Amino acid sequence: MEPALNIPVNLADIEVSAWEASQERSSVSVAHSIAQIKPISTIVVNLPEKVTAQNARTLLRDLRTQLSVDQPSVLLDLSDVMELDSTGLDLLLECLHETVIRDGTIQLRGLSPEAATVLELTGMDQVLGLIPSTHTDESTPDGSPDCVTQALARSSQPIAA
Amino acid sequence: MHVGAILTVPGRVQEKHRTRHATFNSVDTSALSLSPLARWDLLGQSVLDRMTERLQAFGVDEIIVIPENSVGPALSHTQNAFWTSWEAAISNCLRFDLETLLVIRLGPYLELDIPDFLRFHRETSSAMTQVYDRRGALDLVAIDARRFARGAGSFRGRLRDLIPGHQRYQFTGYSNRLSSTTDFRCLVRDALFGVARIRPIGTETSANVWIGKDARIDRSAHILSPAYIGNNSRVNAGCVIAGASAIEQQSQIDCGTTVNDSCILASTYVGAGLKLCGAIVDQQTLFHLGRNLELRFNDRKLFDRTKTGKALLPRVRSTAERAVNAISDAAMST
Repeated sequence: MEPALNIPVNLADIEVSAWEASQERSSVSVAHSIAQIKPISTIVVNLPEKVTAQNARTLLRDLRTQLSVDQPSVLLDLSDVMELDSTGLDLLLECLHETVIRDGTIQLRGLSPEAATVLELTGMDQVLGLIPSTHTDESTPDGSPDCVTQALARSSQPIAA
Repeated sequence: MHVGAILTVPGRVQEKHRTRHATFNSVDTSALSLSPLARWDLLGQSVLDRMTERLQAFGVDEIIVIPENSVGPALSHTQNAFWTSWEAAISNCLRFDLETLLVIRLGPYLELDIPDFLRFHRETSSAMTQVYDRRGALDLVAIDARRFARGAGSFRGRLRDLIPGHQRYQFTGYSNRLSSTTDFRCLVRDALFGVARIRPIGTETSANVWIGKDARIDRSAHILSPAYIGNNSRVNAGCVIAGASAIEQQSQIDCGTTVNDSCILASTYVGAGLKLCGAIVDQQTLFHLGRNLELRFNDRKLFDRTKTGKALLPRVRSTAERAVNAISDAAMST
C-alpha cells in the first residue's frame, strides 16, 4: 500500500487553478465570477392591502430592518394593494432611497390596477423605473430596466366581465 | 302647433365591463358611477340643460323633467314613485290641450331636427313615432296627444299599446348613446373637435380653445388646442392641458399638473404635480377609462372639492388678520 501523499497545499495555487478552470469551462466574465463569490439575495416585500398613514410607519420600520444588507435586490409585490395614499407613496420612495444608498436595485411586481393608476397619477412609475435590476432569477418575472412600464402596461389589460 | 315634452333622466346603469370598484380609504358609497351622465357638465352645460334649451328653441311649450331613480336601497319603492310621477306629469301635460307629446329618456345625446321630426310625425298620421339611428331605436317618441288622452287605463299602459303600430323616423345626424363614461368622454372630444354641434360656454380665445367667464390661467400654463376651461376655474403655474381636455366650472388644477385626454368635472380640485391621462375626475372620485376602474380618494392633497370664492374670502381675511396680530404682538414684546 502506498503511503498517503502529504502534498503541501498552496491555497493561492488552488484559487488560481479554480479560477482558470472556470474560465475554461464557460465564457463567464471575471466580474460575474467575483460576483458569484458574494451571492445577492432577493428581498421580496409583499405589501399589504392597505398602505396608508395608519400603517406606513410600521411598514417602513420593518422594511428598514429587511433592507439593512449590502446591495439589496428588492422586489416589491403590490398585487394585494387596494388602498394607497400619499403616505403610502412616501413609503415607496423611502424604500427606493434605502435601496439606492446601499447600492441595491428595486423592482415592482404584481401591480394591481388600483396601485398602477395611483403610481401613474403621481409620476411614481417613472421614479421607480429609474433603477433597473441587474440580477435575474426565477423569482423575478422581468429584469429589464423598464419593468415598471411593462408592469403598468400589463395591468392596463381590460378586465373581462 | 302645441307641443309638450316629458324628459326622464335615468340613474346610471352598472357598466357591463366594470368589475372592479375600489375605494381608497373610504366607506362612502356615493360614487361617480351613480350620478346620471345627462346631468354632468359638458363644456359648461349639462346634456339635460342643452336638450331642454333645444326643445324650447324649437317651440316646445311645456317641458317636465322627472328623475327616474335615486341612490338608495329601496329601488322598487323608487321605481313605483317614478311611475307615479310620470303618470302625474303626463296628466298635467294633457290638460294643456297639446297636439303632440314628446316622451324622451335621456340618455342619448342626439342633434335631432325637431321640426323635421314633428313634420314627419304629423304627415304619417301615426299615433306614435319613434326615432331610430343606425344602431337601433332611441328613447325619443312623439305621441298624438289627443288620441293618447282619449285612451283608457293608465298612461303607461296606453303607451305600451301604441308600441306595436309605431312609425320609425330614421335619424342620420350625430348621436351618442351616453351609456357609459367612455361615451361621455367621446362626446366631449367630439364637441371640442367640432364633430358634435355643442357650443362650449365661454369665449373662443384662440382656435378651438374656449375659456369661461372669470377663469384664470397662469401665464406659465400651457393650454393645447382643443381645450375647454370653464367659468371661475383656475389653472395654476406650470400646468399642461392637452388631448382635448375639458376643465368644467369652479375647478382648480394645481401647479405642475398635466391633464391629458381627460375631463375634470365641476367644482373639482386636482392636486399639484399630478399626471392625469384618460380619466374623468369628479371631486374625490376618479374614473380611469383605460382600466375601466373607479377610485375614490380621501387624500385631499390629490383630489378634493373646490371651495367657492365666497367661502375662500373670509378665510383669507382671517389669515391676514392673524398675521398682522402676530407681527404687532412681536413688535410689542420687543
